[in-house]
Amino acid sequence: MWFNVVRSTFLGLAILAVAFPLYWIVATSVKTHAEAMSVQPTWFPEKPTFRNYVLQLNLGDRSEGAEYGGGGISPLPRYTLNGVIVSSSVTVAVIVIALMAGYGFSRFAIPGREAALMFFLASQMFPFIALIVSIYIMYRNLGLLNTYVGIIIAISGILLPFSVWIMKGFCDSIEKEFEEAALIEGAGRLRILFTIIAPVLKPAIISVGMFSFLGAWNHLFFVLIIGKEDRVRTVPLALLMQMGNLIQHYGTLTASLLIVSVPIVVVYIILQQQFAEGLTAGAVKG
Amino acid sequence: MTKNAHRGDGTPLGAPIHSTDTTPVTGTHKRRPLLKLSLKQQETWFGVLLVLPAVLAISAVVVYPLAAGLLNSFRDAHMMRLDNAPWNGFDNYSKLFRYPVLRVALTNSVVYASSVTLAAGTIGLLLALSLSRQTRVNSVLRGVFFIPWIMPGVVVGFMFLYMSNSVNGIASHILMLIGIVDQPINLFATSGLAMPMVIAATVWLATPFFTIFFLAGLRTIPAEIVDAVAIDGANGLQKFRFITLPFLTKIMVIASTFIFIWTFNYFDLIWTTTNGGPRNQTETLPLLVYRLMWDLLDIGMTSALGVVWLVALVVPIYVYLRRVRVFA
Repeated sequence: MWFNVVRSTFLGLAILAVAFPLYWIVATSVKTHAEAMSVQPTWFPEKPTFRNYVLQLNLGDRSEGAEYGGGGISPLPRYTLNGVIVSSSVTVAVIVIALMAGYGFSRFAIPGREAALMFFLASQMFPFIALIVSIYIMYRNLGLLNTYVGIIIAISGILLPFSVWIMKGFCDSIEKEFEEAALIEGAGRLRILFTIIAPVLKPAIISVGMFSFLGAWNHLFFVLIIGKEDRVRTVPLALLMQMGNLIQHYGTLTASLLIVSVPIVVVYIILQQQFAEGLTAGAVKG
Repeated sequence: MTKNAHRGDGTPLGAPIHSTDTTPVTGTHKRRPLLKLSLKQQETWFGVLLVLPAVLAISAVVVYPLAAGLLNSFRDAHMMRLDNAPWNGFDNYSKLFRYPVLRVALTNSVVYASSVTLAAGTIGLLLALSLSRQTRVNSVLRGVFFIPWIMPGVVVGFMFLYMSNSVNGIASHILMLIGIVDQPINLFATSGLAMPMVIAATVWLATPFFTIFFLAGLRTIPAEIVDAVAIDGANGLQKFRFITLPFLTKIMVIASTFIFIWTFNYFDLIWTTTNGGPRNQTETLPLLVYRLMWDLLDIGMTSALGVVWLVALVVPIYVYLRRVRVFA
């Protein structure tokens, strides 16, 4: 009986711990500059305004920009565009490559298969940051610094091991007889993969897609090192770059945080189920 | 498996079925091998082609840098002078081990990773237990609780940084209300508090990972066992100890190892909030790599650090591999 009381209290505290910071940034993002920076924090915005968003998104009138710390042109729109380009490309690349590799590892007796799979699993846990030096040098020699392609390859490389693992797991769960009907008819293996197997693997594809898009969108370190120019930098860097400015203007800061987070949260809400499934698919069978 | 097992018509088990019946059927009925390879060899080659892109990509981003990093760790390489850098044996390593911040960074990394794993794991477990029943409310709550994990580390860092600032941080405000402090302080810049704050922020981010894993694990416990035990008169605590816990052990190990390694390697949050903290209190290995690379421009030392880092993680990675493979 009192077990329920404990449980409810615990859940209540947990909800508070998660929801309060989120509420706080939403509330602050619509406060006027004066109110946001005042020494007395207010629990509820007195005069809500969208000024911060206008400035951060480079829309509309910027005449009062300086006061809000948004005097210059905000890098956020450009960086968001970069984020979308990079994340989408990474997602497509990872889905296609992981699908092929997962199917290949699952159905074909490739020499060194077990070793390769073990290596894939281990490289999930590799400190990629430790390898950054060599990657930087390699990119410099190949002219891949500050390019979309370079960033996409790097991030895909990080996300592939886990994705291949998931795809292979899903492919394993489809009986081999499934494609045999088509094989007897003489259809090519590649065609079978994309027209017959892929639809069955839709949950896996969605999970891997979500995981990849999210991983690419949130990724900071590689872009920090490999992308030194504005035209390729992605979203997390938009926040870091403005750090000095944002620390002095809390309204703008919180507005940027929301602009950055809202797309992924929205996507998450739409595809909630697949997220959770995809995360556990690699480790928990059944 | 018997050595010469085959289907009725002589094709060995395990080989893809290709009809050798030569009576005409719609579509091609018999594939003539290209390049004089047997059908079996052809299949294998195709398989290799399928996995090639993935292998190439991972080789480019993992294998090559690993090898190059290993080599560079024995050379006197600097950012400005990379080609034909002279070999200098173990110099880089001795320089590294004499570098004062290394010990601090290593310790901090271990403390950071262990604390986050322990705290997030415990809270995640409790949350999973509280939300395991399939009610409407629980479904919504589970959705809400997952949000921290998908937010970028930089966003979470800024969020906590803002809430703990020294002008009008809500954290200080609450502390003042309670009476612990009498003027606003920046928690992240306070000596002694920086590490706990960083740990707290990371726990906020990482707990949903454990929650989801444990929820999935709880779902695999057969209901019959739970009912049988209930009939025998077991109370909640006993049920947990003897039924739930054994089922969750494997998942606990896998999830904990994963998060330990993940946190150990994590850069974003500490970089955003404290950038190494007041007097290196929150300096961890990832940050140290960044500093060696861009502040000291010493490639040799950075590579040596990379090697040391990998060695440090060998045991956790091995444990993780064993457990997951056993499962899958």
